[in-house]
Amino acid sequence: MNKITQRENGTHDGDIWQAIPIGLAFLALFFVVQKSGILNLGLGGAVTPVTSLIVGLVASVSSCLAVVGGLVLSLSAQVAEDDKTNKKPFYLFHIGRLVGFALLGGVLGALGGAVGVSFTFGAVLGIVASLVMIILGLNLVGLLHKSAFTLPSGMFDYFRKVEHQTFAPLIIGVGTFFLPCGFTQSMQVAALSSGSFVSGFLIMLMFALGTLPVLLVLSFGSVTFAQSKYAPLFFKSVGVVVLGFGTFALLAGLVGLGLIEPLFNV
Amino acid sequence: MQKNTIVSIILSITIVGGAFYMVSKTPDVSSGDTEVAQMQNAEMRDGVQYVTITAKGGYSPKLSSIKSDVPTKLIIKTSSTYDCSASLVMRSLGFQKVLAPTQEEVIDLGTPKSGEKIQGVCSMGMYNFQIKVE
Repeated sequence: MNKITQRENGTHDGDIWQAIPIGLAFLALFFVVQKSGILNLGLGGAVTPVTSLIVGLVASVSSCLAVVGGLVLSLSAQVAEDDKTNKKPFYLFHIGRLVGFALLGGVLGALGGAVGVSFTFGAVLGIVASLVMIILGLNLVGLLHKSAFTLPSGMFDYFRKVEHQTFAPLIIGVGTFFLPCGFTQSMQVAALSSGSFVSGFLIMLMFALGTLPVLLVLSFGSVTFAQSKYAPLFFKSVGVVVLGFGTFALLAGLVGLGLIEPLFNV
Repeated sequence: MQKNTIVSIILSITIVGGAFYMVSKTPDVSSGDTEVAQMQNAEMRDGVQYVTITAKGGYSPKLSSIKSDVPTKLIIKTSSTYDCSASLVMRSLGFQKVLAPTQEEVIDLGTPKSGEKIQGVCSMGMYNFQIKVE
């Protein structure tokens, strides 16, 4: 299929047996944190930029991490696996996310209650994101090329071409504004009812800044690991984590759209 | 290699099992109120049946039962709720709204018939609640 496939096929097959427990441990920690209720802190009163910064910090380790973080992690690992010296897409993604959130927040504030935030659009986008995660996860784990049904190799060639461009990471960064995340939606509504471009701008900018540390760790952490000797183990562990997140996000998204009955209550 | 595989499988099972154990042991956020609420979260006031459900880090109680053939209103209480449970979807009623962080949203359920099931999920789908009409 391509160079990567051959490289992975050759060696490091044993890594998967270390990667599975590492990935599962990370997933287990994530779900235990969700269930513990420590993320349900009380923030009273009106939404100010300070509140939205804190909400952003909480959101970045909440179940939104499964969607937004999982997508960032899978894309970052994929980019780092292909070209570990290329950091440009990461900068562009984060800039796109910050600027996009701020501007779109400002637009919401300026338009006011006239616009509604579409649930269905977000849910569909979330399902697309979860499918991307599952495919990239399978690829990172090294399962995809071994299975009988391989995806058209053109998909990864296309992906490889796209990831070195300027627009794609920027657009994905902006696009995370619409990914389903309860915290993001709450802040969008706060921006909507804030009454002015500046206040909406500030609320969403601070929210995005709150989520930045975790996302920075996920993206630039991937680059650091990709350059270390643990790279093969890292990619496989990320693959396991991303597969878990992707499956969770997919099932939850289908429930959100009313297509399947709720299977779990995190 | 063989040994690694076995160790890995054992570790994986332990981790998953341990996580399930901890999750099932962890009491719900507002477990104190929940148990009381579960018994009696529906009440009659002036001929209208009110069901109250709290939305914060999930919905509680997750399962409620109400009487049939009575005009019914659902009250969703948020208290500094910014998580997914604030963005509520109830498909059977065509209801979807991001609730304000702290409010009581009153939703008209009409006059439910016996055997009906009203289900609410948060927009991301990981929290849900169910109201059964008896």
